Amino acid sequence: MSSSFFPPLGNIKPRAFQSSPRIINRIAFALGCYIFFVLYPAYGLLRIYWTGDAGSFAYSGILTALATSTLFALFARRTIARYLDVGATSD
Amino acid sequence: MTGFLESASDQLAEYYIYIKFVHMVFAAIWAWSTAVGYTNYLVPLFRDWQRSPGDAEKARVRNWAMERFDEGAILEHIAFPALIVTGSMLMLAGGWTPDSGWFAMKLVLVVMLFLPIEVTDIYLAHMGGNKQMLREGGQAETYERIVHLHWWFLVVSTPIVAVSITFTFFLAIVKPF
Repeated sequence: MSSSFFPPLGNIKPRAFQSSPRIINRIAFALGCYIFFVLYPAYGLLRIYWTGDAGSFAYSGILTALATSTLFALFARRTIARYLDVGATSD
Repeated sequence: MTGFLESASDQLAEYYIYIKFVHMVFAAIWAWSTAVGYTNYLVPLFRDWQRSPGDAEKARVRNWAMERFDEGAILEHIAFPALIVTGSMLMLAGGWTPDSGWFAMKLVLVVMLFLPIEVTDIYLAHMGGNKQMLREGGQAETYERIVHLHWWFLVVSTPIVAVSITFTFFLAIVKPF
């Protein structure tokens, strides 16, 4: 492919992409918290408002939400770190 | 208002299966139209650039991939509003309410997850964050900043959409609770 196919850089000055395991850990933690403290309560409150059923906030529901949040945070951390090559030793 | 909704529900009910067909077509476009471009072009090119950020040729290829991806996301961003419209029609036609747990969960995911993601994505790809417009407008510093921001957005949203879209299809098809 001819290099003229790609857009000229012009005045654009590419700089290194800044990321670190610490930032990724925080993002993954925030995503897990969003599930546990926002999405899950929103679902439970919607059910209470509409049907009066508070079963979503029973122990089994809380444990399910906690497990889902934790597993998702771990998956998100792994995926983001892989895509950003953070902590990778080889490709 | 209630009368209007009941009337709309009655009129749409007989077309439920056709609306569902249209909804599913848009759902497929929304969910997967950017998958190949993202996984096989954008991600490898960005990872390659990340390893040598000072390489001007790799930066040009990065920019090309990102600008093409902005264009490529058009289908997804047409499909999403169409999904909202057809989804609302299905809700009326089928009489679905948060009485059904699966529907309540889907509603929460659409409003509190997909909507903010899509609004951000539309801004970054087609509005103030459109890379080609920024480049042609001579906004070099903004261009570089938005490329970094868009890359963060895409990488962070990857695990979210991979799980939540699959889960949403499961909810809609299996209706497990």
